[in-house]
Amino acid sequence: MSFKEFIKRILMNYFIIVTGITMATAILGTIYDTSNKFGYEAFYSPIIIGIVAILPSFVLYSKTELSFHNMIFRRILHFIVVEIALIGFGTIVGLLQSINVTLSFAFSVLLIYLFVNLIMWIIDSKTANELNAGLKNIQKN
Amino acid sequence: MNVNIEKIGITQEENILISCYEVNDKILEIINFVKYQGDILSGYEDSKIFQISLQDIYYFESIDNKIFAYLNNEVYEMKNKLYELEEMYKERHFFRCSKSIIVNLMKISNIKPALNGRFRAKLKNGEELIISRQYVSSLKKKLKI
Repeated sequence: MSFKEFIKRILMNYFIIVTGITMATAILGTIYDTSNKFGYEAFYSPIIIGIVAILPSFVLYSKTELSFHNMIFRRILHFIVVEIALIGFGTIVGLLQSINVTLSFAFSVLLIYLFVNLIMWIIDSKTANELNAGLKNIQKN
Repeated sequence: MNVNIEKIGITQEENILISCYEVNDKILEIINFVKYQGDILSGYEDSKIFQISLQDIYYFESIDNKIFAYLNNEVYEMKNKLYELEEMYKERHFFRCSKSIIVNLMKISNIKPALNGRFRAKLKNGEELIISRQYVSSLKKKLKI
């Protein structure tokens, strides 16, 4: 795959991740930290966490076509690296101060990971439908 | 089905008219046969040469610097390079879907998403090929999407 295509996909994933992090922060904050008030600087958190979450994506990059098993292995590795990177970042900046919060955070990361993959799947399914319609058209003519 | 033949003068253009109730798979098969009659390739198997019709080819694949043409149940080695076949047959609904495969778009049943932005093309004989992500935009252009 070309590097340009890879970067394009990373950017798309980044914005989906930022959306997911914003939603997860809202939900977790409502459950665990209702009394907290934030200034505008709080809006930087999803953006920064999104960058930390997207950097491990380079694990998935390959110039040559990957086999199905290789791809699955890289996906699992990618998820583990994302969890480690985010939990590490959360611990360093003091976001994760108890086991409960850490576990909830890790679970949120999993949900966001699945959310991103689901959105990408939906986008790809739409592309597949367009391709199938195009194929049907040329095969009829 | 009746078959009528009308002999015409040398100055007139040859054509085939099909009268049918509906354009079904059988009619499409006849149309494809007529359209691609001129495209015969030479394929090799065990040092023997075979004449193969372009329309019968499902895909070309490059393996260890050798090019193979895959038909429904047969495989033949080709003497052309993959890029030559791509150039020769791009107007014939053949499309480069990955670094090593050129697929006949007329032989694809459907396309489904696969992992990591790639797509899986299921062929009419049940085989599946991967369409690399980098070729998807070219495919969309070719299908005029």
